[in-house]
Amino acid sequence: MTRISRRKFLAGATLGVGGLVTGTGAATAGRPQRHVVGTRTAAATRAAERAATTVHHTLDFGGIGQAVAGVFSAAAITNLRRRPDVRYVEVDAPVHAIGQTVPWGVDRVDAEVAHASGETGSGANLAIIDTGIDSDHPDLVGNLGDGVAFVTARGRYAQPWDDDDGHGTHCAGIADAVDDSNGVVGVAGGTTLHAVKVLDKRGSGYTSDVAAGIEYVADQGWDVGSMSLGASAGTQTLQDACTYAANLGTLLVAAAGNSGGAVEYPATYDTVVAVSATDENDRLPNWSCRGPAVDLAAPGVDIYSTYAGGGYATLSGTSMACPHVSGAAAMLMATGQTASQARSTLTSSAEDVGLSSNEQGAGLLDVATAFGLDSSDDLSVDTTAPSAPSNLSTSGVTDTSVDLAWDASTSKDVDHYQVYVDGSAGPTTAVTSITVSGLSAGTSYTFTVTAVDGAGNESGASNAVTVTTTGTSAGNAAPTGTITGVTEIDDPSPHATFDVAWTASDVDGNLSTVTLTLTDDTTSGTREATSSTAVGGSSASGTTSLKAHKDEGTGHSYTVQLTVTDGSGSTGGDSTTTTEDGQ
Amino acid sequence: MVLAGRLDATLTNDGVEFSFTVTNAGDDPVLLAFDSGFLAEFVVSDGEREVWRWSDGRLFTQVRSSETLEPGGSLTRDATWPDPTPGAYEAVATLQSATADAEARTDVVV
Repeated sequence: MTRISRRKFLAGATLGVGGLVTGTGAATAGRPQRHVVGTRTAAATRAAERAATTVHHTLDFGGIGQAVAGVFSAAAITNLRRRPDVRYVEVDAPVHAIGQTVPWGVDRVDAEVAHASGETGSGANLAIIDTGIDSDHPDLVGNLGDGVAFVTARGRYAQPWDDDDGHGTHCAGIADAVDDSNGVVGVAGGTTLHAVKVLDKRGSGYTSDVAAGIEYVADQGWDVGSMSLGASAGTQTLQDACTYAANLGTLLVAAAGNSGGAVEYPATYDTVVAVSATDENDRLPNWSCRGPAVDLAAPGVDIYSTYAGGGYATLSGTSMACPHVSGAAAMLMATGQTASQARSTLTSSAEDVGLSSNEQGAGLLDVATAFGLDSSDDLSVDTTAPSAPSNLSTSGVTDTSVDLAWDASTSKDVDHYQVYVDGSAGPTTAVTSITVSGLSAGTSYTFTVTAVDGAGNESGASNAVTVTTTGTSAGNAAPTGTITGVTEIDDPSPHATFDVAWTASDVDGNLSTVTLTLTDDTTSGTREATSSTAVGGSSASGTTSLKAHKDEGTGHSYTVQLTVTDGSGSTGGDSTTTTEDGQ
Repeated sequence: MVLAGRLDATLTNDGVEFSFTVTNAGDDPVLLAFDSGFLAEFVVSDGEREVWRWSDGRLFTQVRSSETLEPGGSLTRDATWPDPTPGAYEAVATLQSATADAEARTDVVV
């Protein structure tokens, strides 16, 4: 029989070697130490396993040989070193991760946003109903509470509920790896973890053992039971156990299943929160189960977490999605929410990632939103433009305004609509109609509308609509004006009085004002008089009297300025000079 | 057939212990991918009806895994049929991989 080691078997399980440093491993005299015994034969491997006080792993390197990692007494080390089929004996140097990794799933559900606000699930009790939990994993021990074994770990383990597979340790780390400076951080990070071992080292177990584990969790009054397990058929015992736990106020969360078909058991029960899996692009992998029983989606592809033997691994499955939700549920129940309140909060706060309800249930787990926090720093940046609005039409048209209405974009994430007037950005609105005002009379305008989402992505333009405002156009042509004559009036007053004859015209028919000024050039530009006359239409003429006070008989010279203004503020005009006649 | 299956049955005090070994008999590596912790099924029938199915009443880890079997390499899964009723039976073991098929049969007399 060919021996298949666990590590070799979990292909795709990237053990966490990157970013690790080896400790100096200072020897402590007298105390049994962790050693690795490299062997050449199966007999030597068995001898090493027997000699060990505790076996942590047996590694199979194929043609190279095998290696047994464990705790050995000094005498055992001496004896093993004498065997010709032992290749080496070395101290098992501890490795430490440099800094703490935030796995993508924890980031995607914005659990770290909740951590920053002090939400860690501290005070709640979360049971991992699985293959056990590595009882001395440095990234879990700080959160470990109790353990119970309905199936006893096979091998030499410190606890009967120790993890002889690795799966339960992985799930425990996803939900609740300690938030410290090492390894990974879990969704909760500070809730109390309990190991409920119901599955064997090959990753399977009887439904009766699982049911017993569920009953135990409920009887302890623990808040959440996380079940990264399933099968295509359930049993009455399993269903009854789930109902019992729900009645006692324990929230059960389970993996939807990996068969790609309908949601499996126990996840499909109403008393259990069923979790489907998503990848880093918020897509549902084809193997994730789906259907109306799905309650929530959570990250489940290439999830990095703790693994048995003190290490780390990257695994995929709805098994990995489930504990994301379990950790979040524990965080909510730590704040005093009941199981049903936590379930309701999780579903109402879930993020719609555009999958069907059969795929995502209420949506992707969103821990930050569940705590009323801003989750806008979502890992995935939305670069998808919404669909364009359609059927743009006009209704009311006046000389200065146009009413527009359109059919909404079919995209769900539209933030507002942007109106374009002759290609330039105009007003915006959150609804599907608007009155564009401040327009000019008798003028043709072309309107389009785009949809803009919350991330600022803008759709293509709607259909274009061209409409002409009522009334007469103000036009753009400047008016003109001409001074047709300046005559000094001889009168008995002490003032010099000039009659200025003028004409004004505007091709747009929008004359507004004629202004005449009289400036004394001899006295360096003294403004002697200003007179304005309201005019209209396309042409006007008149005579305006301008008076230079007490200038009679001075012989000063003057400038007469004619300014014609139209309705749109454009000007034109004329000027001339004249001289007081000295009389 | 690239994958060769072999099913051994041994009567013990615990019942009938099955050992199902799948060996890559070909010249190229074979990828075995699994959707869950359910890697192999064991079914016993008395010639007319099924009398025992290993996966009945079992739950499995919902984690995906895979292994590449090199030429000559093998994978073994064990199962125990508890409390069998005396009689003559046929046992069938089937690999539960989406990427490769393997099956083996054996007669069992209890």
